[in-house]
Amino acid sequence: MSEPVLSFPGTRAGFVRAFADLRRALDTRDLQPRARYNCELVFEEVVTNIIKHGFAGGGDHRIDVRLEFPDRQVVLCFEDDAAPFDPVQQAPVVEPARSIRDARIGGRGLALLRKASERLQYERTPDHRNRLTVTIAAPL
Amino acid sequence: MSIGESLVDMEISDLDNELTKITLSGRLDTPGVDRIEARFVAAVVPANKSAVVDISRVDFVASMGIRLFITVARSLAMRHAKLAIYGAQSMVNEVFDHVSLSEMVPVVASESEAIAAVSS
Repeated sequence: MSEPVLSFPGTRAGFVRAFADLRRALDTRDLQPRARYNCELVFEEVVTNIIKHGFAGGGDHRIDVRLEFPDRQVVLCFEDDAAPFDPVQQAPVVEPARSIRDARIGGRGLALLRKASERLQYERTPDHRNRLTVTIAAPL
Repeated sequence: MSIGESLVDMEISDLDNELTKITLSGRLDTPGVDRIEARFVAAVVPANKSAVVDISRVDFVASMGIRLFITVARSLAMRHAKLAIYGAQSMVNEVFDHVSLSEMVPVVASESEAIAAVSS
């Protein structure tokens, strides 16, 4: 069986449709609840980050996501044509705020991406695309 | 409702004159937060009352959901009111723990603990 590839516009509407497609693809696999949650969390955090930051300048962009199921793992490979962005090198925001008044509103997506993943691998491809490969543990 | 739409629902009630209760169910992913954010903020913040949020029927929270809770809790703090969350399922609780949400917003097990947290 060929591995599912999701290709969708880099917009909020594109994300919503692709998220539904991802969930349908995951429905066909017998994943434990933690692995299933982590797959959806990774997809949500990576794609919303690309749309919000990578495509903030507008224009027509697409995001491609390849989904693979090697032994006891799920691999999500994201590709986009935004400016180079390597989340592996970014420090996540997990601040213990002194009080709610000092708390940063956002910025926790990267921390959750790292929590949900077993391995993160980034490369800038020769055709100037970001490729982020996220490996998620999926024990039987 | 198709799977393409976010399955999230929200109920608002007054526990008494000083306290609002919000009951959420479904998914607090980006589409879910988009769907309820304006109503959630409008129900809680202008009232200048503390609020407790029952999330026992929420089975998925991503960073957008956490952002919503922090936004509302911070707005309430500016008005000398509080927000507390209770009843998180285990995976949701792990997500909260990972971003230290409980250091900013009380995250407790039961409604009575949530009421005590916003009343202190």
